[in-house]
Order: sequence, then structure tokens, then C-alpha cells
Amino acid sequence: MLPNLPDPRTPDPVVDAYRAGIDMSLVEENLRLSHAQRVEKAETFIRSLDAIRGIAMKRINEIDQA
Amino acid sequence: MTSSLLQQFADLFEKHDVDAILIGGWAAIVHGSARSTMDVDFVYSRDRENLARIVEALKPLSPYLRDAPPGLPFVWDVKTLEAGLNFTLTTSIGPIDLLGEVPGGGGYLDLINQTQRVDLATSVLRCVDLDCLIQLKKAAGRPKDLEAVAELIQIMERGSQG
Repeated sequence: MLPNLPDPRTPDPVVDAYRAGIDMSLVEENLRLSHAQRVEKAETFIRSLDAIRGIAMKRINEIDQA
Repeated sequence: MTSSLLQQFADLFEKHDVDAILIGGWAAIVHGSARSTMDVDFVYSRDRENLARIVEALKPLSPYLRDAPPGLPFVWDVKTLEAGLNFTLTTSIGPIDLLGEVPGGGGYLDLINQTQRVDLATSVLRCVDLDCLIQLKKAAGRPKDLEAVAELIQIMERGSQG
């Protein structure tokens, strides 16, 4: 813990307001994985997003050219 | 299958003995976060020898300033790193942020005692521990950071060991 910053456990009403929106089921899945597995899982998801974006842009270009 | 962006940077840093600490979104992922992120953030030691090691490690990836207009002269060398502090870079494999200092957290020497060793598939790196990561994100204070803090605090309550 950094001595010059507040204790992370100090209650914060702004942060608490965000808590309700967090889907912890996804996190709990991650907590069963090793660090390396967590990184690989996240990278796979990011690559999927890139692939979807690529397909979407290709489709948009096809529509524009039609 | 290509290894992850973080893994590739970690491999390079380990190979070149670079002193750098993982923070930010990928540090949160290491601790179990389900939030996605793009660029990889490292706080690096500004020791001159380490700057030379960083230059060598990333040189093959042709680093360039991410927000600079194309064609702006940018020389990737120790002198450039000495003249600046925080660099948001694009490389041939993806984006990386090299931070000499972060809000509230200081620099590499301020953070090194608040880190843990993280074993990735093909290399080891140092990552801020969960307490420190929460403190840094609170200090950054953007809405997305506070949303991340809400998740990280719940991870802390559950235990995050990987």
C-alpha cells in the first residue's frame, strides 16, 4: 500500500454507487484461473472484438460501394 | 497462435532485463478483472542504463508517438526518453504506454515495493499489487477508473491470488 494515498479499504460513496453494476460472476470465473490464463482469456476476447469490428467495417464498405 | 500483447511485451522486457512495473487495465486483468483494455501500461525505471535497455527492447517494433501527426520526426533513443517522461506509443505489435510517473503513485522506485511477481506463460513480470492498483485508480479519478475500483474492491474482498 502506498503510504501517501488513502487506504484502499476506506469507504467511498462514489465507488460504492458503481458496485451494483458489476457482474461478479465473470470475475469469479477469472479468480479460478492462473495469472497467465487470465491474460490469455482477456486477449482472446479482445481479438474477438477486433474480428467483429473488421467484419463490420468490411460490411459497411460493401454497403457504401453498392 | 500468437501470444498476447502483454505476453509479447513481457517477453521482450525480460529478455532485455528491463525494469518496468505493469499497471492499469492489464494489471487489473491479472488480478481477475473482467473489464477489457487495449494498451499496455508500464511504469519504467528512469535509470539511464534501464532507458538504454528499453530502447533496445522496443527498437525492433518501431515505436512512434501515438497522438503525433504522421511524419513528425521522432527518434527512438535514450536521449528522447531522457527528455520526456510519459510516452504513449504505437508499435508494430500494438500500443504501449511507458510512464515515468503516475498520479499519486510517483515513479518506479515509489512503486517497486508495492508489486508482486506474475508468472505468464513464457516470462515473468512485476505487477502492482491489488491494494496499490486500487489506490492508483482512485488517484486517477476518472469515471472509468472509479468503476474499475468498484470491481477491484470486490475482488479484494474475495481474494485475488492467481
